[in-house]
Amino acid sequence: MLKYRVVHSIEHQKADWVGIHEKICDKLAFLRQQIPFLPSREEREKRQKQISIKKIELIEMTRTLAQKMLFEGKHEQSVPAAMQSLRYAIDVYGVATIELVPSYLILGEASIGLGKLAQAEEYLAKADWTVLKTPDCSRAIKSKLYRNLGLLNAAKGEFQGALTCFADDIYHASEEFGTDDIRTAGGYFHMANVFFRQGKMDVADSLYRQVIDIWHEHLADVIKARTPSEEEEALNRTRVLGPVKGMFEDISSGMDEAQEAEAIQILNSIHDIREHQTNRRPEDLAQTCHALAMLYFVFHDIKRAKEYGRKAIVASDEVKDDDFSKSLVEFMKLCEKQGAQI
Amino acid sequence: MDWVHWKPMQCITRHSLVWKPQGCGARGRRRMTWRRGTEAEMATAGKTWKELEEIAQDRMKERTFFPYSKMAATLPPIGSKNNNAALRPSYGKPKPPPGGRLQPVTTPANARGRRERMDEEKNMMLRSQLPLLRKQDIAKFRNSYKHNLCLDMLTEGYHLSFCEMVNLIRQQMDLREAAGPESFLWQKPVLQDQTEKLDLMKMYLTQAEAASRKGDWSAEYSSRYELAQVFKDNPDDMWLVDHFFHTCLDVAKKEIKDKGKMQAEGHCNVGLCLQTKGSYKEAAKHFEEYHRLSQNNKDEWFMVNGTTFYTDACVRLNNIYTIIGTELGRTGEEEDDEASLEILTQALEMAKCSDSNSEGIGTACDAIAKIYARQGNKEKSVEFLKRFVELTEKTGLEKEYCLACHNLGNVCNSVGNYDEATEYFSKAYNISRALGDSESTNVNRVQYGIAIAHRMMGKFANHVVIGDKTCMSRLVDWKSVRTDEFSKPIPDTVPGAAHHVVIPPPPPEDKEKDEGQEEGTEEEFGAREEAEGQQDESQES
Repeated sequence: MLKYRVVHSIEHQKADWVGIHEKICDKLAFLRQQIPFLPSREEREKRQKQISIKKIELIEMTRTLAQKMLFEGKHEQSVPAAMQSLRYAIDVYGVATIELVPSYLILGEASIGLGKLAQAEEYLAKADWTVLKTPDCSRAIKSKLYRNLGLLNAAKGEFQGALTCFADDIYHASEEFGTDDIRTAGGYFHMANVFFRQGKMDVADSLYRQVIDIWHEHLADVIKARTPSEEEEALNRTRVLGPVKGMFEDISSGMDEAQEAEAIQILNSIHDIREHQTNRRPEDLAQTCHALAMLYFVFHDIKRAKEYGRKAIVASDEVKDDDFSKSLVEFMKLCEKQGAQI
Repeated sequence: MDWVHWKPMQCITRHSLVWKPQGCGARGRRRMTWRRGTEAEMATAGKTWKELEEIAQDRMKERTFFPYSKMAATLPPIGSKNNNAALRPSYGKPKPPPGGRLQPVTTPANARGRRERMDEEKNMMLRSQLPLLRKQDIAKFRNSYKHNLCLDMLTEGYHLSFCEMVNLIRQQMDLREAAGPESFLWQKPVLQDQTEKLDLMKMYLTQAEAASRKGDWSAEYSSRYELAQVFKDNPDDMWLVDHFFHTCLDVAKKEIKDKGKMQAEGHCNVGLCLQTKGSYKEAAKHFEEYHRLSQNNKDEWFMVNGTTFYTDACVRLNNIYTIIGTELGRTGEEEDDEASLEILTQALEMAKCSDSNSEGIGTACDAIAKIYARQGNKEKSVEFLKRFVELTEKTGLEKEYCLACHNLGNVCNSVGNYDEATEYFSKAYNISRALGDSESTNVNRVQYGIAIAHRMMGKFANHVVIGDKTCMSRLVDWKSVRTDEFSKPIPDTVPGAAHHVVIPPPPPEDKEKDEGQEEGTEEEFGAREEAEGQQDESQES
């Protein structure tokens, strides 16, 4: 029993130092507690089931966490979380199963970020092999695998190989989610980066434009869906005894943490590129700014949202597109309202 | 056991597993054979031989299941050159060690060995000349055609083409799913299986995307137009044609330099698509736009065959208006009639705008006349029909002329103007006979007969009403002559009917009206009416 305790504390501390502790602590505590003596078989089975559910929850959580850290650029810190998820995944699903692949992919990506290409290749090769041996593996996983392989190739400087991988990624993602989904947009973005580095600016430009279009549309939809329409507003006003609730309280992004981090990363880097581009089209910058503003609005960061909104208005002065300016003005009004409420 | 199972079914080594080694002498024979050991294991594990074979397919499981068989070496393949000696009855001679891994030491390099080595060297050389398989090459075999095509497009950077194609394919699949598995759509080939079409699409779409990246709209337009033309011949692909014409129009709207010529063409194409699909209202909108654009450049824009865009627009507008008008008129409600009249007048005007389009004017006149006839405004109807007849007479369109005469005859008949009705029906009858169109000949023949009968009816009734001697004799004369004349087509009714008639006929005007109304409904029924019409008449007499 003593030995068990020791192992527990060391592992716990390892997980602790990156700050995933408070998120997974209570779950770990449940999993690591002593196995109580359960006399009846049903109770034991029940407990077994409970434990495996907890473990799966833990896997999901640590994975999302690790992915988020990757998008934030904290490669080193994402490794422990990914390892944790891998450990429990092996525990639950077994050694060579498709469920391990996401963890391997995260580890691979982290290794790429840390510059350990050989190690990354090892992780990705494991994932690749598992996917290959699982004929009915989902397209979402395949898409992620190819994205990581593409990143590896790009990091090695093998641009043609990277392009093929990203093409595969986009193909699988569009088969699964559709061509204009935010989960497909990542593939376009990385592909654009490759073309950018190859110096094919026209292709890269058009790809960046598509990425921005996809995000722009998605965010606009999110805001539209979460903002009460005029009639509902009127209804709220007439209702005297209704619960006093801020009208924007329930605006959430509708994305998980990893996707949020991805959005910030992608949109910001495209914004940087557009700002430094000399021969850009004015509407490109305007739309990028608008998308960023909407993103920060969804995150309740009204100050930044306004800032980018203003930028977008400045940029859109050169564009003769009434619909776009109108939507911008409406958006700024929303910002004002929301800002006043806080 | 394991490797033998990877061999094909017919291979002798596979069968050999179930054989017992033959002809082994008592001395060299082992107490425990591979087969026996395996069978013992089989019994303890409670499996049958078949099940074992299945397990052996999976190498991982096999390791845990066959401790004995793994201990013993694999059985040497029977019949292969090197191991013949092992299977021959070996009286007294010691057996070579079991297992094919240890080759019996044969005589040093004889002729066959040298040849073998040379073969091997040759094989190695050939193998080294083969190109190494790269990842892409493997993927080509592993993936579907569509997959590879998409990858090609994406790696070349044509992501918009990729999106368009994937979405088109998905659109079709969704349609099929929505229609349910019993729909006829499932019998038609799917786009993603038709490789030539996919290739064509890829070629033109990438061309279009490259052009659009450069801002060369006319090039993009032309490649999309080509694509639409490719699919035009197949009725199953009309939705693709639709799609590409619509995108053509979108592209054309971006082009400002050519004063909208491309846009006009785009509107025309989309309009045609909509017209074939049956959404006439929207088609009309596009044609109106086409007309508006081409009006400003009447003398500059020419089509391939030399007609101006403007004339073409007028013709198309006239067509669509006529269709809408008749569609509306068919429902038979008051407001619809008004509306359809309005639209048909527009059609007429359009037809007039375009020179040398008498056909269009004709159909428009005809449609208008029909509506008027339904409304009861016979004079107007006659007026328009007369115009129709004149026009067709002038231009010499036999078929239309025949139709015009027929319609005019009908109207005259219903108004009570039997002289003209007979005249026109006789014209129609002659023409249709000359054309050799049996159906219209029959109809016209009947109508002609009816009209003649009607013409005669008035005089006949007069005679009966007056009823003096001369009249009677005339009637009798006519009757006898007529019996002679008409006995052939209707032999029994006329003489028989004459006896039964007792009641005098009602006043001629009323009777005529009744007849007229009846005629109006009867005209479609053709030859069957012939007998009845004649019968009525003879009864009245």
